[in-house]
Amino acid sequence: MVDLRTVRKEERGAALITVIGALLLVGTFVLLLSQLSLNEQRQSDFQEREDSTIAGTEALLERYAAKVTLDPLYYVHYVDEAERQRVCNDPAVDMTGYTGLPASAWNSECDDWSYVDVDLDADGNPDWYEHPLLDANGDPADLGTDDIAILMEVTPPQFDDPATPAVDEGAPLNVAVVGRMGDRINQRSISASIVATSLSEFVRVTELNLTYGSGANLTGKVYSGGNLDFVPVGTTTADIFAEGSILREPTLLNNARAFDGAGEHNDIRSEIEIPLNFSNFWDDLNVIQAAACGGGGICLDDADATGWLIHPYEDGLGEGRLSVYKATFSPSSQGCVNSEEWWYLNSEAEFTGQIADFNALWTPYGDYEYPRNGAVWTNAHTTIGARNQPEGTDISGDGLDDAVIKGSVTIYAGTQAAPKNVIINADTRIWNWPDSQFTIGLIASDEIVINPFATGGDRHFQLQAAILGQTDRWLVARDCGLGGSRLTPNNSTLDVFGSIATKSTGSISGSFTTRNYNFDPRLEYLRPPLYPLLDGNWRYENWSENPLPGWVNP
Amino acid sequence: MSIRRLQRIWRAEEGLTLTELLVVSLVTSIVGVILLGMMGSLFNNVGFQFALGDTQSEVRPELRSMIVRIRQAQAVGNTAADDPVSALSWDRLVIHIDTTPSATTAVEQELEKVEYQLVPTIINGGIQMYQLERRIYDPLNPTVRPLNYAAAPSETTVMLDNVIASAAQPLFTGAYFDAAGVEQSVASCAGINCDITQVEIFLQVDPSLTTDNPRIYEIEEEVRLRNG
Repeated sequence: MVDLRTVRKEERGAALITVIGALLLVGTFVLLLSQLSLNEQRQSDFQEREDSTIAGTEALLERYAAKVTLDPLYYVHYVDEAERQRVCNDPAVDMTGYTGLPASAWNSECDDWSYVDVDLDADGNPDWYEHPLLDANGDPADLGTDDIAILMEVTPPQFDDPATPAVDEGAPLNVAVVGRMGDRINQRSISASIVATSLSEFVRVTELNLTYGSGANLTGKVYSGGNLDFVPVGTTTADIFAEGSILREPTLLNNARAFDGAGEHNDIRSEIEIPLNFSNFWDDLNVIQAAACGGGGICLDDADATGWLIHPYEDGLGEGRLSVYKATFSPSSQGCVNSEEWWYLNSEAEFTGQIADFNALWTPYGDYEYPRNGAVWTNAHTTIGARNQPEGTDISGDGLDDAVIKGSVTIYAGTQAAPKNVIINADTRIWNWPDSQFTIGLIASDEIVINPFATGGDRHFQLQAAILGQTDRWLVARDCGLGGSRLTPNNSTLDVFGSIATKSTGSISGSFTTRNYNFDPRLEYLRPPLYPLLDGNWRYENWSENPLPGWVNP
Repeated sequence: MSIRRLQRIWRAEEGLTLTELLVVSLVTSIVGVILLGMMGSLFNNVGFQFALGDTQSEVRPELRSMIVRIRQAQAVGNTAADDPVSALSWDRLVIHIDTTPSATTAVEQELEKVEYQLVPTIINGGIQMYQLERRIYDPLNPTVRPLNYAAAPSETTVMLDNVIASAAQPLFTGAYFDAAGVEQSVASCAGINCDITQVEIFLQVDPSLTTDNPRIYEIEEEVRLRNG
């Protein structure tokens, strides 16, 4: 007979083996599943770190773009906190060996630089920038494992040569940003060009119909809120836009395109999302006034001022400055010239020969550096340039001093409620144009007027600026202000390199026999400070992820 | 029941009654079936989790490379394709990017045309399966604008197998924000009508290819076109 006790004991052994086997099986499954989960988690963590790094890197790029939107010349005003150390290489300026540490001011005359590593803590490793919002451990001196650190390099815009409009040499401001999370290997590098579509990117903008006459050869974009016509057919090397029809199309060169709202060309809405409406610019202009009067700009707001004269010039030390004069009397109508038109012709303290014994009687008010934010606002009609003041230079050689722009500034006169004119009273030239980063925007809440006496003995009036006549048009004054006989010398020439935006069209042709409306190609990549934007924001071009640059240590 | 009585039963050699045997067999069968079912389910789940894991491991890098490329897509600057996305439908996406940023030759330095296209493979349980292919087209002449591209791809890569999609469940969808800031969806577009700012990817992959209990790996991504 079988000893059941033995059997029972043996069964205990079998049960143990069975249980152990089962546990081993389950354990194997658990181990495999755990391994699978761990692998998945590692992948997820890696992915999360990649995403966090790219998000932090892009955040710093966007931060820089926001700064450039507010100050279009931020990159020549400052070396950003996240930049590497700059070394000036510009042979055009005497700045040999000039260097700029991160978070320091930069000399804006230097627009060609290279970079070197910064190692302020002398630990043998380049210093990276940790923005407080990306500094997980709260200690900027300690790169924690979850901290995101950034280094960036900035390449200033490159400009087209106006002499060779067919050759595309230009490039917008480019920023390359490298981000890392702690000492981990997944570093990311992105670069992008930062572009804000400004009104100044057009050589001509009107809200109404626009017609170009004989010999119109354009090098910049043109926009008309109505119809656009070229009589006879000219040429253009840039896109043309009409909300209505393009009645006669110019010869389109260099891949220029035509856009209209009539369905006869490319759809204008594919390029310009909403029709340009000058009423929409008032908000931008209010910002300029606010920046001038409450944000560190120059605010010329004296209650007794009837006129302001602003003369941009280069002083003996080579610095750009703004000399300001003020008038306090109110002229009365003289013959066919009304009190407003008086300023068109008598904006200089000189005997003009046209209206005897009258002048603006300017009194010196102040001599200013260019404001950091580039904003100047005035509460009265504003004259730009003084042809016979002690300070000034006659670059154009016409016997009259020019307004020489050696800085970046936007001068805005009046408000929507109290519109004022801007009178251009001297040849207006950008220092070192076209290789300069400096720009000037002239904005009249009413009209832009050229003083005909500023043409000078050379019979050339030269204007390098972006101008905006918000309410009406731009014109050359005549002996009855808006009407009457021409006051410019016979066979005079108007040379514009810039951008002209007026709600209505102009009254120029009767005063200048030859009119050259050239686009300043720099304005494709630069805009005067706070100059109105078309879509209110900046955008990227050529945003791309790149291989890590050589200066990044693995 | 006392221990003594149990010991008596244990010592007893009368055997088991038919009823007892039947009860024991029944109980054993029920327990066995339950255990086998549990084991089968466990094996099935474990197998599927492994398949899902494998699929996820395959999908992640491919999806990542697709996202990286889509978000840096650029317009090539001609009237036929002046937006980063030049064609989009439920099974196809065409973008232009520089696929070789470190390249030195003129052709490689220019923007290539990259096409993501679903190609039908098998029908499994009534569901059409696709391969997701990436095709790269080189510019014909990189120095001439606007860029034009070769008709045949210079490179074709099968990114993923067993992809499920349809017009009702599109792999690619476009989106943009209108003037009122409301997101508008775009099911398909081509040429100058592809003025979108975002591409949405809804990727479904069947890792098991079983018809009785199909479980699908799904992942959704929204990619903002940085140059859009």
